[in-house]
Amino acid sequence: MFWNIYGKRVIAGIRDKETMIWTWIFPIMLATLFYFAFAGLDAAGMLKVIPMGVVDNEQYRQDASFVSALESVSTGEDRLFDLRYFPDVNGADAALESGEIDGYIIAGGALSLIVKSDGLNQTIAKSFLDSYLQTKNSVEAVITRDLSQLGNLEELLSRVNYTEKISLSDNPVSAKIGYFYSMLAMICMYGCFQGLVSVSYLQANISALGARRTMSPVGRFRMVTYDLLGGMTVHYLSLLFCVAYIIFVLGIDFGSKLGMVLLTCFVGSVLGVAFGAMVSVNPKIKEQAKTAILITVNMICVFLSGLMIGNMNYIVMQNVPIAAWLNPASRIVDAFYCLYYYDNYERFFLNIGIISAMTVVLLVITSFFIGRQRYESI
Amino acid sequence: MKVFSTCVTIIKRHAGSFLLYFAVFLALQLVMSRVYIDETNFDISSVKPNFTVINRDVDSPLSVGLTEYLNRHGVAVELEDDKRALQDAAFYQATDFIIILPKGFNETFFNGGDAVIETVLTVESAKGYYADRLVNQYFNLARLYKETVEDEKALVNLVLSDLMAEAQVEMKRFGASAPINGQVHVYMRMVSYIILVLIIVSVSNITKAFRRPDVRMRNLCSPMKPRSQSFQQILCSLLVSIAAWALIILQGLLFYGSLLGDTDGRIIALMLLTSFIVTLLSLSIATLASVFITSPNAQNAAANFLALALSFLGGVFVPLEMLGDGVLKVSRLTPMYWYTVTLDNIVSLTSFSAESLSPVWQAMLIQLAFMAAFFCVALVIGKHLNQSERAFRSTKTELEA
Repeated sequence: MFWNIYGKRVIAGIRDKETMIWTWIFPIMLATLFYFAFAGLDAAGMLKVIPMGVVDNEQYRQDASFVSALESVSTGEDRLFDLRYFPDVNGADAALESGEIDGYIIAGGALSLIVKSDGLNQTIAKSFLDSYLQTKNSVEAVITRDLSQLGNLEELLSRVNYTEKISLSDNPVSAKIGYFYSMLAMICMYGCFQGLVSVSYLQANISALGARRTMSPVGRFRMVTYDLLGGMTVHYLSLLFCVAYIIFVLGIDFGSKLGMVLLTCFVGSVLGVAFGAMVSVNPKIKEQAKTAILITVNMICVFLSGLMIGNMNYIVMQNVPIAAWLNPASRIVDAFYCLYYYDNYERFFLNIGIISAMTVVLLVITSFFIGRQRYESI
Repeated sequence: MKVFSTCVTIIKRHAGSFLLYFAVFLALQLVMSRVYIDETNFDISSVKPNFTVINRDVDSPLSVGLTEYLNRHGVAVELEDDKRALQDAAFYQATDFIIILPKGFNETFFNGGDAVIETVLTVESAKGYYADRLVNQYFNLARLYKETVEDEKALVNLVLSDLMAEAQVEMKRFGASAPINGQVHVYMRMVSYIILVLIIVSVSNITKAFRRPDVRMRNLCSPMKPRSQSFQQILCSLLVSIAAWALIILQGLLFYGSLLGDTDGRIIALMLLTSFIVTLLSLSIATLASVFITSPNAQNAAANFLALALSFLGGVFVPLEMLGDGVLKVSRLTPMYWYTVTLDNIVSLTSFSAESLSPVWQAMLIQLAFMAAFFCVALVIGKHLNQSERAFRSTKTELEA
């Protein structure tokens, strides 16, 4: 009996074109979209050479120390500014208005920076001018206090680097990988459509098949269990397919713990199926309304797990930790993240434990209601 | 107007799911525009990198002064000195820059040793570079004074006072209007996504009901011409689309109206115009998509996938400048890209001369061209399908589902 029900459910699942679109084609297209859309994401906030102008007038040329400071940060490979010289303010204004430069500097009595909008480039340019002014003032103050320091002028004017960059993990921080985790969490949750179908096939007032099956001699629990197992198998296959596509075709690095990634997908997809089964168990709600509920809940869960804003998962965790712990999509995303970023499995298995516990609760609720359903008075 | 009133009945019956979609998306939209604010609304004097100081050394005037100085230019993010907490914050970019003052740092610094501060840049970001500049500037000024000032507290006070010196900044305004607030810009960008989803869901509800085989057979033998039936359906769809647009704009005005005080009325009018055009464009996309939609599942798939795909490619979620060049080439072929371009052009308008406005009109015309093209294709395909046996293929509505 097991193979009869299970096998037919798998075949029916694979032949169901609409669910196939949702769980096979939609994720592949979304992954491809993410791949292209986020190609430049990790480099997006990187410092680029800032197009900057300077009014090349008499006052500027006379301020030799500023000229040398500005030129030193405007030459070489690691230069801060791409410097353009303008003979007067009008030329600089025209370039600023057309967007050729982010701002321009007027030297003289006081240093001024002219910009047309706010932004990080403008702030960095200002911080350069600030540090020049501050260092100049401090050196003057030090020499006034102790004239002997005049001999150390070169040392005083030199700049020491006090910082050294370190990394906290073997794998690099990547903003785009979080989006793929959220997408996988979403596909796991889409297992709910399999759960929905499995339970609908069992409800006499929802489908003709349900009416037929209610009369069959096989027990309801056995029937729904085998059916759900079939649904889980079909769904897990779609996840395997998607993970393989992301790793082997798109070349996204999920770290070295592939086995554990697949385990997370498995636990997540079982949770998705259980969720669909629980929502579907109420025979009074129409199928379209059930689908709308599933999609809405999924959408909220995956949004809070970071599908649309990369660090949403963390924001929720910091501000409303209970919502993050109870959000299944967040737990799935967090499990992937632990595998990628942490060097031990402690929190990973905590996540897997929570997902499994949620699944058990959903299945217990489902079985409680399925056992109570009677159809004498349809 | 029998068909029209039937359409209205259909829409009324689905009002619940329409409002549900509306509420959920609006909530997401509001959260998103609020979260985005940090990234879009900089002030020249207040680009504030998030920084975290982890002090493993004793609390000294030097370390307290560092935090005080960084607080002037950034936002302190408190984190515990725990590897996990630091890793999490780094990965999710909760902080741009982590500064770890190692044990014995103070002593090494004042005794002329090789004092090194460990820093974690969450990503190789310009904000991190800026924070790094600030830290080095602070310690470099402290280094200048340490030979001549013996008292640490006095030294820190001198440094902090020197660090008050700032260059003058002048913000030149080339246009008459105040710049558009970042939140409003993000909200307007997101409008295209929610409008598209809502319109696809509503329009396909109408067409789906009329395409049920028995209803079609009944309607084909009615005295009303098919053209009149289609016209009334389109009219109802148009009114629903306009209602959706009005609801979303009203919602936007309610939340962000106060931020538009200084904005030139012409800029607001242009933004409303382009959002109206994108509503018509969404209607044309929905009309084309609904030709293929025959069941509630396909309806949800089409609404979600089309809207997500077109929005991602069009730079609705991720700003266009972050998309790679290759993607941009594809994006130009999609309609939402032109909405984002129109909006970006409007936001950055510095004058209302014909020359400045021409890119705005151009992008709007391209949207209208897309709209016309989608309507034509929908009509052609619809006509082809109507003449074929497929017109009577199984179409499921909620009655059968």
